[in-house]
Amino acid sequence: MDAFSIHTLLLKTGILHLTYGHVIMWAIGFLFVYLGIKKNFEPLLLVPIGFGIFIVNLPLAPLAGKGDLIWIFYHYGLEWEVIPPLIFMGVGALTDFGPLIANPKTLLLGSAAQFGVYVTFFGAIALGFTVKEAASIGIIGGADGPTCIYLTAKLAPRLLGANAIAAYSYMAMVPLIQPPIMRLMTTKKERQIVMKQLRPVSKLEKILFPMIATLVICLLVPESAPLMAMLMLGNLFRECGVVQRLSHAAQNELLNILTIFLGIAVGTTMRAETFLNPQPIFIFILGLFAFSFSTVGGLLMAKFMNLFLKDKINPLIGSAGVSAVPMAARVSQVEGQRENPRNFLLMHAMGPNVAGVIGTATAAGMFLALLK
Amino acid sequence: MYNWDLAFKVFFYGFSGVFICLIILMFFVQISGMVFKNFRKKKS
Repeated sequence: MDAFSIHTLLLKTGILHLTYGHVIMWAIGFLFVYLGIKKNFEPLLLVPIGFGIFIVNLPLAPLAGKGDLIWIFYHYGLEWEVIPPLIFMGVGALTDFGPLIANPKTLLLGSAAQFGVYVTFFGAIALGFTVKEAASIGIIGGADGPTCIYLTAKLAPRLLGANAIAAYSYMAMVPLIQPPIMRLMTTKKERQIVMKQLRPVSKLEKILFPMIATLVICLLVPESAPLMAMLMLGNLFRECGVVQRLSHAAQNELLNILTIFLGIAVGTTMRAETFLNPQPIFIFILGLFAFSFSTVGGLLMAKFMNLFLKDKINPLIGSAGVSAVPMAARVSQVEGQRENPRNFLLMHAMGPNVAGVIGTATAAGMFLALLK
Repeated sequence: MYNWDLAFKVFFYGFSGVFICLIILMFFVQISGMVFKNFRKKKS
C-alpha cells in the first residue's frame, strides 16, 4: 500500500479509531473540568484529572503508552511512589500539630475514625473485589487522597483512577456528608459541651513531636515509613524555624508542582477500556459507606471516652478524625456553633483531624504489612 | 469464592494495630508533655 495514499493517512489519524467508550470518557473528563471550574469542587485536582482523562482517551496519541510523556509521570510519580510521600511533605509543612500535642487523647479519635476503612474492606470483598482491591477501596474512608493513591498504586493499580476520584470527591463533600450523621449520633446536650481551653505548646515540644512520631510509628509499622517520614520531615521544616525557605518551598512550589503531576497521572489511568465497567460505581458507593462509617467511628469513640473523662469532650470533634484537613474540623466548629454560638471547637477538632492523617497512614502501612 | 478468613485476620490485626500504634504514640506525647511541664515548673 502506498504510504502517502489518503487511506493510509486517514488510518494514521485518530478519527477512524474512535469508539463510543472514548466519547463517554471525554464527557466524564469534561464533567470533571466543569465541576472544578464552575462548582469549585476540588479544582486543583479535578481540572488536571479531567484533562488527563480527556487526553488519555485520544486514540493513537503518544501520551500514555510505555515511554510516552504522561506514562513517565505515572511510572516515576505513582508506580515509583514518589508523588504521594512528597505531597505528604508539603502537608506536614502546612500542618500545626500543636492541638494534638496539647491534647494527645485525640489520637484515639483519629484511630477510631479508621473504622470505616475496615468496615468497607469487608463490603468490598462481599461485592467480589479481591482482598488487595478491597483494602485499597477501604482506605477511601480515611479521607486522605495521597494515602489512598499510595496504597492503591501498590495493591490494586487498576483501580487507581476510580479510587482517587472517589477519595477526593468525598473529601470535597465533607460539609454535606458529615453534619446529618453528626446530628443523628449525638444528643443536643452533647453537642453543647464546651471544652476546656488547650494548654500552650512550647516550640521545643513542636520540634520534638515529628521525631517522636516518626520513631514510634515507623518502628511499629515500617511499611508506613515513606508517608510518615515525609509528613514529619515537612513538619520539622515548619517548626524548627531555621529553614523557612525549605518550609515555604514544601508548602507552595513543591506541593503545586506535584499536584499537577498527580492530577494528570491519575487522570490517565482512566482509559475507556479499563474504566467503563460497573466497578467504579461500586467503588463510589463503597467510598460513601467508608466515609460515613469513619465519621460514626470517631463520634462513638468520643462518646465512649466521655464515660471516663472528668473534662468531657464534645463528641462533634470525633468526626474530624477522618482527616480531610481542615475541612472536617471546620464542620465540627460549624455544627458546634449551631447549638451554642459561644462554643469554639475548631482548635479542639484540629487534634483529631491531624491524628486522622497519622491514623490513615498507619492503616495503609498495616494493609501493606499484611497483604503486600 | 470469598477469602473471609484472610479478611477477618486483616480486619483484626489491621484495626487493632492502628489503635496500638496511636495509643503508644499518645503515651509518648503525654509523657514528654509531663516532663516539659515539670521542667518548666522547676525552672520557674
